[in-house]
This record gives sequence, structure tokens and C-alpha cells, in this order.
Amino acid sequence: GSSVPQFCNSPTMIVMVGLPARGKTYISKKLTRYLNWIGVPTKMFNVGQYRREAVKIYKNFEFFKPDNEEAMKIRKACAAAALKDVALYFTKEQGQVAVFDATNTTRERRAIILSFAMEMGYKVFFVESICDDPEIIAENIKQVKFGSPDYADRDIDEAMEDFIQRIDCYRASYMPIDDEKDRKLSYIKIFDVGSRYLVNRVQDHIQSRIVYYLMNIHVTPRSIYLSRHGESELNLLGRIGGDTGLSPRGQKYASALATFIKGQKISDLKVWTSHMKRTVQTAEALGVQYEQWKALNEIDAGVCEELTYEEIQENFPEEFALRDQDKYRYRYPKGESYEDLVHRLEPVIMELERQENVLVICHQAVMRCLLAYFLDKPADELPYLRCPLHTVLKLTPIAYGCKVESFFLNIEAVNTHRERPMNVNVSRKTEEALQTVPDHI
Amino acid sequence: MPRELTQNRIQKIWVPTKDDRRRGGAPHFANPPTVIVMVGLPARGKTYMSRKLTRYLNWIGMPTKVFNVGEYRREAVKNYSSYDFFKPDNECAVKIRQQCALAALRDVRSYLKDEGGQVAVFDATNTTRERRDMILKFGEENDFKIFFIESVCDDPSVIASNIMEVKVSCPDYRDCNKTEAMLDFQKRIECYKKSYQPLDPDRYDRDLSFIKVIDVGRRFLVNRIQDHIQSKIVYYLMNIHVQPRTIYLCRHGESTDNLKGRLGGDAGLSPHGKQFSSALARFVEEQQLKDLKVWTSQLCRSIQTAEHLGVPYEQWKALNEIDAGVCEEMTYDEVKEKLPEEFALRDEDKYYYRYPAGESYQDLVQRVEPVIMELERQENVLVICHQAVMRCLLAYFLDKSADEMPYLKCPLHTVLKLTPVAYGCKVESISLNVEAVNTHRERPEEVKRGPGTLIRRNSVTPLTSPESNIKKPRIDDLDEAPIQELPPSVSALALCSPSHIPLTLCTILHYLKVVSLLVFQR
Repeated sequence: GSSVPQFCNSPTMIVMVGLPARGKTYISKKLTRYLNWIGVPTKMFNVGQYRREAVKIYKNFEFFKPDNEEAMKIRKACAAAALKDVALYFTKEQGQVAVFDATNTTRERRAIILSFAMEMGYKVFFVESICDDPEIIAENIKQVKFGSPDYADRDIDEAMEDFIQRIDCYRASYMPIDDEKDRKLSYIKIFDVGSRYLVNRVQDHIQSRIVYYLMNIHVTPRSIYLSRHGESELNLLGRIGGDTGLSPRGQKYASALATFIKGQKISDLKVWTSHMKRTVQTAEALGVQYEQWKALNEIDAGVCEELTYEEIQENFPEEFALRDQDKYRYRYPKGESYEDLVHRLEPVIMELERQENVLVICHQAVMRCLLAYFLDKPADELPYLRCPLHTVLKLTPIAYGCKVESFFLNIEAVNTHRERPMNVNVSRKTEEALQTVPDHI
Repeated sequence: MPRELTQNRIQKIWVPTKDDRRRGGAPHFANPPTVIVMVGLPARGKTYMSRKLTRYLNWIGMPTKVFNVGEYRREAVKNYSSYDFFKPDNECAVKIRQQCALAALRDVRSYLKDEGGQVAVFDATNTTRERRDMILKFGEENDFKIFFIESVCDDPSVIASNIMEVKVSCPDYRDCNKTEAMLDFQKRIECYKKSYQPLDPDRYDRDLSFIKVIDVGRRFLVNRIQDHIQSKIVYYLMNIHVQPRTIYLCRHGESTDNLKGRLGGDAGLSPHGKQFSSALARFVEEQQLKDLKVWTSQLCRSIQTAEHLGVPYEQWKALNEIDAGVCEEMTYDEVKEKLPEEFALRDEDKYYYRYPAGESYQDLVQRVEPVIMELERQENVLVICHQAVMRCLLAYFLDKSADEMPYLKCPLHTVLKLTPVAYGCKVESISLNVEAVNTHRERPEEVKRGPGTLIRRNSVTPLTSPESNIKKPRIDDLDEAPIQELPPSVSALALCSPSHIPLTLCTILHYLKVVSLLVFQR
């Protein structure tokens, strides 16, 4: 089990609807990333990729002309293949949510999907993106279409020209979800990149969470800075947890961070810390307002609080081995697991989505969780992501993902990263358990 | 030089030594105050939503108050006679109603500017553009954000049901029977219909921030959410429902730690605790509920209790008991002996007090919020939790303040059955007649209850939704002295206030009080 009840019973298909360049794939990818992070196994099925597999070389927009019968056959077959894979994902791979990413602009296509879902016992939730602002469309095309394999050997103007004609192929037959005819369906219509939403018949918990998430995300350019507190006194001693203050080098880092932030010339930066002294002290050096979140506190190591790894091995060798076996799910006795952390951090992520420029000063395990969300890292990699002291990670959303820049602020600090040792058996020897413990005083 | 930090003694939050303000457990997100403006014909659930939303916002620490214009009208016009009052051509009444709206807005301003309020819910029909434009102007003049909540519903059975649930028994109809009341109210609704201008997202109102709730939550139209609090309000409104259902709250059966008087820990059930669990299983069966969900925490005693029920249950870590940090598994006597200062601090301010390396009630509210949200979505649920957690949940359902929450009585082996009814919640306390120790510590006598604890910006501090402030006399010269008899000609004059009578609310009230006694006394 996990720390939160799993509320999904029937698998759910999220079906995207909309003309090309309306952000469907952007939303699909982001939503998939979010759902996986909160522990709902989700996978995206992009019909365009199936088409690229079937038709190795894309010539031009004529493929998408409504009277191109041969192409129509291929496109139908691709959609059907994708649906088959959705069924496989649910039955054989324990998937919970499948995001069906295609234009799905005709009632006919949507009827096929609905009857498929009904037959298989899947719930369906439509996400329609409607936008007629030519500037936004053009920007979308620039951001993601030029880089697409379809336009690999074309120049920008050619690609733009072709894509616009491609959109026109769909326009004539586009039938948006209808308020009257489709009143029994469950859906959200997103207008103008989130300026307005129409939500119809939310059936269950997961659909409610999806709607909340979609209503909080935005596309305004901004950067998120993630950093740990400066090196702490306990860090120097190789002890985990606790609530101590900064070491002298940690103080130096705090000043260096202040200088770095000023140099970034960020408009309207929000600064967030945890409730622990070391992050608050670090923020204090910035000389700006900051907000404290208890949710950003470091993972609670329970009975192992303030111990060194050597002491943990000496006092709780079995626990130590179990942790190495499944570091994501392992919960310290009377403490927390990474899995618990993710649930604790969800409101932070939701608010980060709403905000623009933010600097989050937190802790190693917490930073790994946040980073895993932004960089779409799975649960087994999350607890081993590298988040060294005295290093700022700058995340900037771009195209469908996130650009990461790493800035080491040139103040020495201990290494607190412990790799997974080779032997994770409870019967292992002490040296094997302590093989990867970093140096400390 | 970075400032010196100290950990404040009650909340254990690190603050610059010079700054001793009470801090929030969560970031403070509301900057300009917000006025939520309800819109809709009568009997569309505006007051229901106003009060529920206010209760929720206060519980999560956002000081919120409802300003119900109908209540101002009932203050002004002591006796309601009939729907004629609401006829659009009843000039006299129209003026009174306008004055009531203005009086309510004045109180809104006062609440948001001078009384520490963060959100004001302006509960009235607000069905015309004219009225809404007036409110928007008011918002602009005072730097308040405006968020509209419109409830649209044309299902006659829903309307009739609403009227029966809350209108028929309202003060306006105290001297009528149900049928009379229903008929009058329906005619009242007709008075508003002609002039009703719903929010228009495509043209006139496209730049406003609002949510249209259509057919009791089947459908929502959300326009231009500006900030965090509006986003939370929308999420909340989209999760609540009006299906009849029952929520059962109880604690785990008595544990072995309970017997020893120890706090926290993760002990199993005592023999009496097991007895309770069997009794609980019988109780649940007797209730004959369809589709009961059972939730527990992830602590042994809660799970063991559920196991006796023999039905599937879900575990929530968020329902775990308050973390007593360094005091875990001590008895109160041991805490008093080993950490006397902490012991005293807790009694001083039990809501904000955070155990060293542990939690406070304030932290608990934040932790438990997703449980509340899911409880709103669900129907019949039995929650098997712990003393402090149950107090938090109960405070939400019964609108109890931060000050009261840590002292709510939640004894072992007792089930609280909560049923939503009208604008609130009916509570039945059912003891399952299995002996248990008493774990309740009363508020010590010496600790005074300061008003300062109740109103706090920038923090998660549940407040009881404030009482309407029009109960206390607002106008000084309206006293209880007997009214002299007026000749009928004067009273007739007073009924249609000509323009040369000063149109202050004061004067109108005075005349009406006189007139109502004469004209409506039969």
C-alpha cells in the first residue's frame, strides 16, 4: 500500500480533442508526468507517432487532406492500433490512466473511442483545447513543430506554410464537443490557454484531480530555482536529519546564493524555505521576503534521526538493508518514506505550477522529489538523483519538457550522496553496507 | 549580516529574533482581500454555498464571513407580509432593499479593512448587471478582488426541495403553513425572473472572474481565475455535492498505551478495545447503509479496529495521530516532569503549540485537508481515527474555531454520526457501551481565552464563521421604547416614502418600525 488510498477502480482514458497546435501533446505529456509522479501509473499514446511508424517519410500536408482515401485508411488503422495498445497497457501492464493524444476532432472518431471504452469497461474523460489566437498558434508551431521529425529537412518558412495548411485540412470537419449533444459525457474544455474552462460531469476522484491540475498550470515563461540549504553542522558530522544551523561554509554559501540570485536579475522572485533552521538561515542571507512551508521539511528519519550511517548500520542493520532494497518505498521506523514525501509535497508542486519565478531552498530528499517531478524521473531513480550541497539547479520549461542548468557556487561542502551499494541483502557484512557512505568527520 | 534566528517557543518556527509575530504554518497567499459575490435566483443554493464555503475557508485559516442581505432586510422590515415586497414596481421596497445592500457592503468594507477579514461572501441574488456593476465599482474603490459564484438551476424538483428544506422554516414564514409558504416563495422567485441577467462569459462579463455552477454541480463554467484562493474555491465547489449521506467519526478502540496513559505510539488494542471493535461491527451492520467506505490511519490500533468489521478499508497516513515528537509514548505526568516548560506552553496555546520535533493542531489541519476534500466527494463514510485528528475533522463539520478545537470532546468507544441538514450538520453521539479510559484533558482554569487567538491573518487558524453582526443594534436612536400611536393618515404617508423624507436607512427603519406595528398587527 501507499500513504494515500488509491482511488482508481476502472481504468480511465483521457481523450484529447482539438485542432493541431492547440497544446494537446503539451497537456498530455505534462498531465502524464504529474499523474505518474503522484503514483497513478499513466501512459501517453500519441497517434502521430504511430503514423510516423506506418508512413516512414512525411511528404507534405496533402497526407491530411480529407479526400485522401489511402491516407485516411492508414490514419484509421493507426488510431485502432493505438487503442489496442491502450487495452494492453491496462490489462497487461497494470496501467491506470491512458492519455489518448490525437486530434479526435470528429464525432465519428470520438464515437469509436467511446464504444471501445464501453466495451472494455474503461471510463472516458475528454480534454478539449480551443484556441483561435493566431499568435499563440504560431508560437506553438515554432516551439514544437519545427523540431518534429516531419519537418527535419525543411526550412522554417516552408515548415510553417505546410503546417498551416495541415491545420486547414482538419478545420472543415472539426466538430467541437457539443454542450447539448454531448451533455452526458465527462469533459473539460480549455479556452485560450486557460482563460476559461467548461467542466461537465466529473465522475470521480481522479477526474477531479485532473481538472484541478489543468486549471492551475500555465504557459507563461518563468524559471524555478532549486537549491539545498547551505552545509549544516550535522552535514559535517555525517549525521542525517536534525535541525541544526549552518556551518561556516554553509554561511558562505548563503551569501554566494544572494549574489547569484541578484546576478540573475529575476523579476518578482518568490523565495520558499522549509521550517528547518538551516533553510531559513540560508534564506535570511538573501535579504528578501521568504515563505516557510512545513511541507518542505526534510524526510523524517524517525528512529534514525541524527545518526550517522555507521550508527544506523550498527543499531538497525536490517532496516539499513531494507532501505537499500527499495529506497523509494522504504519508511524509516516512526518516520517517512520518499513515497510519503511525494504526497506531502503535492500542494507545493501545485502552487509551483501556479507561480512564476520561484527559488525553493530545501533539503536533499525533498529536492530529489521535486526534481523527479520536473524531469519526469521514475520512482526507482528518484532517491538516487544527484542534489549536491552548494549547487543551484535552474529549471526552465521549454517545448515539451524542462531545461536544467546546474550552478555550483564554488564553496566547498561535504558530499552527502550515498549510492546504492552492491550488496543489499540483510545478511551482508558491515563493510558491504558501508561501501558507499561518503566521507565525513 | 544575516539576522539572528530563534525558534518561537509555542510554534517552534524559526524567526528573526527581533520579530515575535505569530506565524503561519503555511505560506500566506491572500494579498488583496477578496469579495465573493453570489449570483442567482432565490432557492438556487446561494446561501448553502456561501455558508459551506465560509466554513471551509475559516477552517483552513482564511478569515471569512458571510454578509447575507436577506438578513439585513429582515432587520429593516421586521415583519414580512408577502411576496409583494419583492415586486419590481414596489418602489418603497426597492429603496429599502438597495439600502440593505449598501449597508451590507459597508460592513464588508469594515470587515476586510479594519477587522482582519480576508474574504467576504456577499450573499444576495445580485441578478442584475446594475447591481453587479455597483459591486464591481465598490471593489475597485477599495482595492478588493471580486469573484462571482453564480448558481443556475431550472430543475423544478430541485427548487421545490430547496424551498422545503430551508425557506418554509425561515423567519419570513413563521406564521404560515408549509403550503402557503411554498406558494408565496414561488411567486417571490417570479418577481426576480424578468430582470435576471445571468453572467455573460462571451461578451458583457468576459473580463470578470467567476464560476457558474450549473444544475447543482453537474457542469461548471470557470472564467479567469486570478489567484490561489480563487483556485481553491473553484476546486472546493467542484467537489461538494448535495446527495444525502452520513459520515461516521470514531476513534480506534482503546489501546494498551491508552491504558497506561501514554501519548502517541503505535500500540495495539486492549481487550476493551477489541470489544469495542466488535460492537462497532454490529453497529455498522445495524445502520444498514448502502456502500459504506471505511477509512483508517496507518497506525496499528486504527487498522485493528477496522479489521473487526470484516469489510474492505482504505488506509490514510494523513489520518495518523498528531506527532508528539520528543513526547511520543510519554505519559502526561512524565512530560510535566521532564519538560515542564513545554507542558505549560501547550496549555497556554494548545492549537498553535507544536511538540518539539512533532506537530501542532495547526499542522494537523493542513495535513488532514485532502481527507476533508475527499470526504466531500464521497457519500457514506466511516472514519476510524484518533483523538486530535477527530477533533480537527469535527471542527470542520461543526464550524468550531481554533480556540475550541483542541478541547472538543471525542471520547473512546463513541461514534459521532454526522448528517448534513439544511445549512449545517446534525450530530448524534452514540456510545457503544464498552468501558474505556478517559483521555480528555480539559482546558486548565488559569488559561484565559484571548480574542487574539481568533483573528489572525496569514496563518492556518480555523475560526468559527462569524455571527452576523446585525444582531446587535446598529442604529443608536432605535430603542425599545413603546411606539406612540400615529393617526392613519401619517402611516399611509410613511408607506410610500416621498422624496422629501430623508432617505437614510435610519429614518426608513424608524418609520417602518412604527408602521409595521400599526399596519401588520392584526
